[in-house]
Amino acid sequence: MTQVETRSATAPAVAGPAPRFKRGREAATGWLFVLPFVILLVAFLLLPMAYAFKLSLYRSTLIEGEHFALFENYTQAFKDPLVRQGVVRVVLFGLVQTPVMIGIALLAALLIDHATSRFSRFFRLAAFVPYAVPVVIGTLMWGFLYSQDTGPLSSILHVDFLSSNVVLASLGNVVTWQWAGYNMIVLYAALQGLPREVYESARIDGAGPSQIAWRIKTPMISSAIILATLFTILGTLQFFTEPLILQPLNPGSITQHYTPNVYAFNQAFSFQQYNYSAAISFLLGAVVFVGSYIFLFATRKRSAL
Amino acid sequence: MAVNDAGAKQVATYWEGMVNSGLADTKAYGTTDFYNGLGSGKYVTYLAAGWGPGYLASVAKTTSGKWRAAPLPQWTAGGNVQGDWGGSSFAVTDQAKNPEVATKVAMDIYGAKNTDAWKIGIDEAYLFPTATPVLESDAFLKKKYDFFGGQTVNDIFVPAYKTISPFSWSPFNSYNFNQLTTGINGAIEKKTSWTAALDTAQANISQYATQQGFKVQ
Repeated sequence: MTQVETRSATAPAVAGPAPRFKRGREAATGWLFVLPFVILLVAFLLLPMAYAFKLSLYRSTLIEGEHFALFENYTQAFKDPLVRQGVVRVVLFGLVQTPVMIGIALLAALLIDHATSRFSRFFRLAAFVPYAVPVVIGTLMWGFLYSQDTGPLSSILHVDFLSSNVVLASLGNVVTWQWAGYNMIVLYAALQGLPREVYESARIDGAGPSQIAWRIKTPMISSAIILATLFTILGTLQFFTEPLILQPLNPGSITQHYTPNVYAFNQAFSFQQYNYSAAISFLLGAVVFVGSYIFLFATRKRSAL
Repeated sequence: MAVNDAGAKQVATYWEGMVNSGLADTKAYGTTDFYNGLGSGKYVTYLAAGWGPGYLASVAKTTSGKWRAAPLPQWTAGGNVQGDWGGSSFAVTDQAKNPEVATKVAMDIYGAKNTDAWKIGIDEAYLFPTATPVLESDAFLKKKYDFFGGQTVNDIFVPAYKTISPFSWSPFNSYNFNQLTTGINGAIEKKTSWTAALDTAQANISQYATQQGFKVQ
């Protein structure tokens, strides 16, 4: 800290005529500021990724030991029907989950933006509370609610929420419960930032509250909606915690290859296939990257990204 | 390697019939519904290993006094075939810095001579002793359990334990176990044939073993 101060104090006196020299010093100071971030990024993201990539190029067997296999793990993953099933499932899940959740979040945000009563403040907080509950605890709680014999929901509705026909919707409900409030706050914050005069002129032009909400407010926060949608897509493709936590409740419907992430996890930690697991993870990473790029490209006119 | 031989299929067919006729429950082990079933008296029979009595006494306290232990039913009358359902032991690993000293410490704490420790282990923790002299002692064999209405349940479990002939685990047992449970769980959920699930498990395990460099027979 003291070093940085001395440098910046002496810099103008020394470096008057030599801008190149000065820029170098500024760059050094800049690096110093981002150093904590860079260290964490390298230690906890880039190095593990490089290690995982190296793992994905090798094969390790009980008899023959470890040997270099190039893309053998990747070709195996491409041919593996369980990987394909998982990818199809998360894509399907995302196609339904994303519009439902963003729709609920947008509707709630528009409503609490319109009404400024004490009730709306309470509602805003109440909708946000599930996000403050850790995912694992929230999921365990839903697992209890879904229990067929002991859960309160099954005794009223007579539905086995964890049977293979309904389990994806049950998982979607947990995700919506957890994240809709968070997305609502993001959209609500964007709505709060809009200039109020626009509404006034719309009202003079004869627009009702629902028209203002749908035709003025919604288009004006489209970049925030796109951001929230992008995060939701990323989240659904990497769907992991909820199925993993609920799996023991009905391992017949939530299988060990339920989503690609769950499959990669089980390959590593149930079957000791670390190399194959790393290859699946990298393939999934590529799918997520391409998916989010396509989405950003398709919406580039509306997003600020 | 055979997880789908005639014996295995006989067991699978039997249990498939039990489930289909509503006599056996398929609730996953260790879930709220499972514990609720044990505690509420929904379940009246539980196939248990040597550690079972202690487990049952701790998770189904409300049913104390209602349970009794009996030898496993046999396929053929007068037979005495028993099985193994895991458990734990005290071991010194080869990563220990001083294996000899560690072994001595382990023997002093957990060995048969430390009767005080085993008294706690048996009375408080319901352990099924790993040390043979303790296993065969009257303190263990003649112990009456209130949970089982004063029955000396170890009279049942110790002779059963002694009938198990020596066997060795597969080098990738966790994979086998996983394949079998996944197959049966899927068959229960989709109401498909259990014996077909065993055939699938056999195929998957053979493929895995070949991949790992084993010669499958």
